[in-house]
Amino acid sequence: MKTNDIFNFKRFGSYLLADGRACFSNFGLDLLVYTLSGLSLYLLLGIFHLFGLMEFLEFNNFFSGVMFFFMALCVFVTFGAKAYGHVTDRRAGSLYTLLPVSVLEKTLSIIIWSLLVPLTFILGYLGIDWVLSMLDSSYGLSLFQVAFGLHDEFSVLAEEMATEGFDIDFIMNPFIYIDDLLAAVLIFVLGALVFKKSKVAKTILSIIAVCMVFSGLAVAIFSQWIHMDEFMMADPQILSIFSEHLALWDTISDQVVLIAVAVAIFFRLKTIRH
Amino acid sequence: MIRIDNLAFSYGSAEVLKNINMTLQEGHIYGLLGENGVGKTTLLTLLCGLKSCKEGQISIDGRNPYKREPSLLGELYYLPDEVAPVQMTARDYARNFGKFWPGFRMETFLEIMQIFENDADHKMSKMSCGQLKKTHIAFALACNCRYLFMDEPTNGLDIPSKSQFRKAVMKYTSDDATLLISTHQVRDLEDIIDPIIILESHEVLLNAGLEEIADKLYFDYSGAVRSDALYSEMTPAGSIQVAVNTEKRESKVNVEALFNTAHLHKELFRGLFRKEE
Repeated sequence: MKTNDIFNFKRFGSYLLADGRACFSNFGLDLLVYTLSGLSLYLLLGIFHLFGLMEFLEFNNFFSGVMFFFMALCVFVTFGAKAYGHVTDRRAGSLYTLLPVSVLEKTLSIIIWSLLVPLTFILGYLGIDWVLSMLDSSYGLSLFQVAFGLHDEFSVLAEEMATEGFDIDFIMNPFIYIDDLLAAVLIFVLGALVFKKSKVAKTILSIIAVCMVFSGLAVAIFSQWIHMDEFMMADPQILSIFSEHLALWDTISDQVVLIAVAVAIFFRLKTIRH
Repeated sequence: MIRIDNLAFSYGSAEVLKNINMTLQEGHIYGLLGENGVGKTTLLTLLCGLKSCKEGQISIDGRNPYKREPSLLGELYYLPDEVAPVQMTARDYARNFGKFWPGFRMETFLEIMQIFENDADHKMSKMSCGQLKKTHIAFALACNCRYLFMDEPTNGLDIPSKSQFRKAVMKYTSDDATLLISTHQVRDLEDIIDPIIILESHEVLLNAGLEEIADKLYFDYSGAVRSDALYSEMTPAGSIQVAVNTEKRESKVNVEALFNTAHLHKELFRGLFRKEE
């Protein structure tokens, strides 16, 4: 196999754009609806209050927050099936599989768009939310401000837990959650590439099954083999070992999951048959 | 060149192909015929790399198509029997994906769309089955690949489009291209396919050019009853009878009658068209 068959920058650039156009063709309307859902809610409640109750709306950003998390869940869960679900289809999948682009390039493109599309939603939703908070004084704090306002709350919580070295600034840094976001989306993309029907439901069931297996193994290992409870009784400060290196543990675990899912996507694309 | 050696394939315990051996040369338009379920689509999907062969091997210019190397994929195109609608106009679809095939020409795509009287600015998801099929045919031909595999390309086409398809294939495929067209509608493609491959009982029963077929079989359109006819059929234009060409007379091959004759006389065909290894 020539090197050009593994990766070519020019071809990858062309494919990234083509894949992006296809993604937005398949998921664009959904993305727009999810992103504008906060604004829609605000307008709907405003109209109801104005014409129904004959009063101006005093918006509670609690609704906006709930809507944001619910819509984010919808984006994470449905993006994979909408954008890449056609790969398992006998008709549409054969064009995708036989497109003269390497599997590595296809995998990288999936990873990039699986990050960019949810980020587009998050920034779009929070941006609209921020604009509304600027325009309407009764709107309250924007979700950005609410999130950063939680800094002090978490600091108090950390003190109560008596965990020294608990880095609140690290926890509050939004960039550390990018790999979590990407892993979450990619798991559903993998599910969309593996299952032919009921992609979202089967992915959720698979996650539950995997969690049950790993939980069972963890309980067996830590309680029966390592006897973790005895360690904890012997040294109560053992929990602080984990909290002091929380950033490291978080990064390692996230990267392991991310790499595992990305490799699974690669091999699925490489071996898919129609 | 495409080479298939001792190819066998099954879906679970259901054997689909066995002992397939053939070589497909450049510059020919092969017609792939066979009954339903004999393995025509399976063979095409194996050739283009959508499936891997369990036994035997396939090589296209010495390379395994299942590896799906971009350099090889850029030289082949597979048009499935059922094509998928896309949420784009035909023009955008061609512009978006055509660039990955080195031989693709947008002007050719638009020309063929015009021949088919198909609107390139129509959204593919809103097209009828026939319009969608014509769009994908136009794209396939515009890719100008060296290897083009088509599964039932005239299914869903109206009568004028079938004639336009024949003309487009002859005009827009290069002289060194290898086309393999699977079809039940032999009358649609009779004038362009040569050689003919017939699959029967999951094996290759016939792989021969029209010249060889006409040399070994005689197609009698005279209407006179023949006692040695292997197959006879009354048609609106008269009758057709197929017999072994013992007198080495010239005749025009009727592909449909050929297929029916092969279906009825498998062992005779195996003997008559056996290839020396």
